[in-house]
Amino acid sequence: MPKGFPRFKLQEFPAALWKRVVAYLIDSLVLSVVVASPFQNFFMGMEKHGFSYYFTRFEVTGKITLVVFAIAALMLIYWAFMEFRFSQTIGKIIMKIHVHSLKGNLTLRQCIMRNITKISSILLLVDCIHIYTSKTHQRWLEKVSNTEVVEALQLPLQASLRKTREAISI
Amino acid sequence: MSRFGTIVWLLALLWLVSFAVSSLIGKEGIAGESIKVIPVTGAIGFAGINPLLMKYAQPDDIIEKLDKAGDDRNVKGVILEINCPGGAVVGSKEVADAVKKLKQKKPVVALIREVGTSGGYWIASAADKVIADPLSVTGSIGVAGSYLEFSGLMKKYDVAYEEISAGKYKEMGSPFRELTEEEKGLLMQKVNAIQDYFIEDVARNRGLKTDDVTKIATGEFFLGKEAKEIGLVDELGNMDTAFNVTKELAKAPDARLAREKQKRSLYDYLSEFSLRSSYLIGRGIGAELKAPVDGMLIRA
Repeated sequence: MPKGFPRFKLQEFPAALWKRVVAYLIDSLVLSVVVASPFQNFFMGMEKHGFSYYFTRFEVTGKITLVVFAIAALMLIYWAFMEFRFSQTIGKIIMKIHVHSLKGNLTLRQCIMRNITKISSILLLVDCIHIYTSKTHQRWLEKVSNTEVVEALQLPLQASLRKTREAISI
Repeated sequence: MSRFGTIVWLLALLWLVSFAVSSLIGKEGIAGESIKVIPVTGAIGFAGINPLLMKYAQPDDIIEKLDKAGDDRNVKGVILEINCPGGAVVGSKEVADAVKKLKQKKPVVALIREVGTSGGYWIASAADKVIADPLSVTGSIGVAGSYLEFSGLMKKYDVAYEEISAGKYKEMGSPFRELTEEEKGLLMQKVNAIQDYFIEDVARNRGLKTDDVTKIATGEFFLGKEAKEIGLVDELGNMDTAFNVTKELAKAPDARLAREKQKRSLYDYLSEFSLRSSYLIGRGIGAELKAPVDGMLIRA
């Protein structure tokens, strides 16, 4: 390699799945402390009754709906705002991964769309099925919003070229 | 603003909104107001001891339930459902003290079902109100320290008992030798001291004069209706009565009755199986023995 030639290259690759999972868990922990903890008294004693108890009492159903909606909205604000402003949430900052738009700059609309399933674990689980069928390891809503979660790797130049060839051949 | 600053502000804002919404929906939890029923069933066990093979109303378990009910914001009042003939002294006292502590926070009503005597009544007396069925068995304010003494049986079979102990009264109460008069007097003193404490506590709990309680503290048990006449019971009734009284005292007319589901452990199932098996085996042996005996009687 001639002198002065760059030896390392910073390249972005789809983030490893385990990093994404850990980042999600970290964010969930942050949100449970910040957003869910003020409601702990409200949910105290919930295990004493079955579902039918709560949905046959109008005054309770109303409160549950309000609380669930409030928690979901605040969680979505966290995910969408953090990714729009910094391309990262706290979990992603710790795991050194970030969100990248496949079409120009990352917009707020894209951030909201890609995170909407995170308000519910079941919806997120369904959304994640697409990761295993997609070559780019994107969730379904990530594909729809044209975003992906990537990590930047500093590789020696030759390794970088090899990795790029591998990435192209996928 | 730096990234860190923005994140801190965002989290603070989210927490503030969350707190505001939780304040808006009010202090009452999703489970709603309730009147908790805490059963006191069986003889009161020894404080701090959990015997594996005997089923007792464990004082530590009852106290834990009382403390939990005290801490639960949704529980507005407690009904102690008592089916207890009495039992260990310290255990009964500890539960009564826990009831007195709880009634500082929220109303406690004692409901005596079949039996609430001796230690069981001690616990009931600590509540704000005592309710019993007219035919419930209650009272029996007294202390017993009786035990089986086998010295006669041992003498009959030439079995000797060698006493080797230091301390004049160390072997006092041993079932293998007779009690001396002095020792009997000493034990009676202890029993009377416990009785005096029992009487004072019941008198204090019920707002009665000590002398009046002493007159009825002969160990005699009373039916519910008799107990009401002498001031040991406030009202005659059943669970519905207790529920209504507790709701009134708690000022929670919409509270619902909350009973804990009795969790049965593997030990409960095994002991029930073992008891039934033993009973059936006994019956079988008895039936077999009876037949030859009948035959012999006929022949004779």
